[in-house]
Amino acid sequence: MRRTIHLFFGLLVVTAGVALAEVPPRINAGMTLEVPDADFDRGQVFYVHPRADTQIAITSTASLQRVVLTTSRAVGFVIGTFDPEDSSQPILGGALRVPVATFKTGSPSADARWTGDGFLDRSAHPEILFELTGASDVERRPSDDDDVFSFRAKLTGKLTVLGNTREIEMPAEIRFLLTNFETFTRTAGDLVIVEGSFEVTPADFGWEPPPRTARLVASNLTVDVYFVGSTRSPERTSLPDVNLEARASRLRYLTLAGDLADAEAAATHGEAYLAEYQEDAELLDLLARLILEDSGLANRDLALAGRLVKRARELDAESESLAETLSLLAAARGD
Amino acid sequence: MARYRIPLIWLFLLLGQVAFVAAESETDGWPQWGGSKNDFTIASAELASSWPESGPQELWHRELGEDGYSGIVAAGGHLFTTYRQGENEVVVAVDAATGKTVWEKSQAVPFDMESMDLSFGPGPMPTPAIAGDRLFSVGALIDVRAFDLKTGEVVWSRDLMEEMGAPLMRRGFGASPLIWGDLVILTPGCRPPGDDASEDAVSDGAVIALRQENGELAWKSAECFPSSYSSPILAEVDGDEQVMVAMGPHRAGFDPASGELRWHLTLGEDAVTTMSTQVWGDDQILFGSSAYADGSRGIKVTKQEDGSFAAEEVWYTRKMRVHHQTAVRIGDHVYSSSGDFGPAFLAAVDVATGELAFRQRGFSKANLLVTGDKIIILDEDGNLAIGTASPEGIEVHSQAKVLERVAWTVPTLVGTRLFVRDRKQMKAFELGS
Repeated sequence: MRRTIHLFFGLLVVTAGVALAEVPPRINAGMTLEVPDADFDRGQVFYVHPRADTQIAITSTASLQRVVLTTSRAVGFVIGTFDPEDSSQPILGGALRVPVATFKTGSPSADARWTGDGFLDRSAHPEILFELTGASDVERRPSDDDDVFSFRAKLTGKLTVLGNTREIEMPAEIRFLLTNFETFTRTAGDLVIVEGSFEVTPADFGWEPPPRTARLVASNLTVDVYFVGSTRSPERTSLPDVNLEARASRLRYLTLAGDLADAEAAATHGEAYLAEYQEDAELLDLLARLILEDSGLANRDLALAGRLVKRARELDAESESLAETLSLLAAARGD
Repeated sequence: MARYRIPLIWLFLLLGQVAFVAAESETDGWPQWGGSKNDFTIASAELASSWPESGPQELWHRELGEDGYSGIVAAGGHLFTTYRQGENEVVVAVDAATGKTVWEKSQAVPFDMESMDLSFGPGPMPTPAIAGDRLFSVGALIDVRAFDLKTGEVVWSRDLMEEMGAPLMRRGFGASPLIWGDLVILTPGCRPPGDDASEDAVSDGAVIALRQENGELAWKSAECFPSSYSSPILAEVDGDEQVMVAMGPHRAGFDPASGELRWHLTLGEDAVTTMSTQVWGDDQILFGSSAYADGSRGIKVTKQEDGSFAAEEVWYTRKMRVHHQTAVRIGDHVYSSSGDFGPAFLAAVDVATGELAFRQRGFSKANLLVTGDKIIILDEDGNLAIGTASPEGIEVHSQAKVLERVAWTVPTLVGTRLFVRDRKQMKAFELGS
């Protein structure tokens, strides 16, 4: 399928002077965006699920270096058809936020360069925005599975990088998968998978690599995308015993500390969590564990983790889970 | 579309057997799961068409221990339900007028946590049933108890796992008992020999009937079907009463007097997760629905000239997927809340064709109840609403938040009073005009 998609290269249209992509803000926990009420009436909302796929791969093949930046931390939603079995218009809209700080190349120094000042500039522009405006040239694809409905289409949208917005088109494969025991192993809910590829010219977004790095950055970049959206929000859980407020607060911490790399805001939020749940050893332990173990955190706030564990052990000195967390903390500190 | 037929079996009709649901009318009682007819549709009550913005008038509220999803049954001015407190399952009788406890009986039901998954709560889930002066309860480990309705005295009890080899359901037993004549019909399920190498396995008794008087086994089915969260219902097929069940991939009808199989379909493996209660109609189409990998189907059951019964799947759709909520029939359509772990839409299908009539948002996963021309909606987030349903959609007249999260229990309507509960609390509302 990848080969088929690449046959469409050259369809990309980039125009200047486009209004900023209209992308709603993240909801409080940060793992998805606020979906406008009207969008719920337009079609089925599929929430893009972060943290499981290589959602975006940007390939730069320059004369002196080939770099592939990848991220799995894009959040947002796709408005799909209510009825993929019969519809001729599979995609109606959507929006994405892609945190710049989460792009990885395989080299920490390259990560810092590509997401830093002069490149994608994570401090000034912490997120790349994309507004999905629709689909054209829709072609229904055959499927040998009654629960999978496939389309090929040209997706259109507005891409905002470094504060500059351009319209883009992306040939894409769109697959709707009704939930079954197989899809359930990925995530609950009906799924949509959007897979496509397009090219961008960094200069069109005002991105001029510093002179000494010009040969390290290609003048055209290939962007491969692969999103899985589910009708169930990544912030929702079906388990009835979960403290939803505390869970949302922990997700918020991960968004601040990991995706947005805002250490100061994360620390403030973490302290607020400690104060809010100071009488609940289990909830304190859960945040401490995240700080110590979550793969999305480049910098771990060991001091905060220590305070969380200390208070939790004051409440429950016998907890086996807390003893394990304490040992993780000791290892992280190098004790 | 596949056509299924039951094996040509003998059918013994026990003449003279008078089947009746020992129920009081809905104006003063709610005897069992789904009301007296198992269909969550009750005689027209004089309900107000709408409420003030603050919600309907709350009469009282009370705590209900630590947990539980059991429904509420009602008789003689008392309400009955179950809850869990520590390691105990508690059956409680409550004064319907005040919410005060009339009697309460506790029984230790310790769980072997290694063999159970209680991530959705420990239950108990089954709704008790009332017949005459008895109340019958079923616990998470399939222990059946009969109580004196007035005093709470335990008249008899049976441990179906211990005594009959019923399989453990790792999330706890979920199906409610069904009253028929002088019997209590239960669906403990069966684990066939060779399955799980269990020495306790049995090869029959998926459906059983106990005598209300003393708990003696009246009959057990010869079939071995897996356990199910879907509660059995009573249906009448061309004048022949049947107990209809959805257990694993099996859909079947049994003679309620003898337990003899009337008809049987084996569906695909995607149909094993049916939790919602099936819905029967005068057109003899059995509506059933599952979430996850399955959908909804209509099964036409008819009596043949030779006295046997035929069952045929007449339609199937994935456009309505009912998880564990109620489905109700109004006219030619079945209404329910469609969806499992994603969004849940209120939806309706034409029961003759399976065609989706509408799908509308506005509630999370919801239970429905019908009285007269009104439909009562209670979603899992505790939003209660009243409206009118038609194939064009459900027009909501009033809506109010009345319970906290995880309100999975179906409301109970007695006259104009509505009784609702979530996992920890029970409330009474006056819905009269």
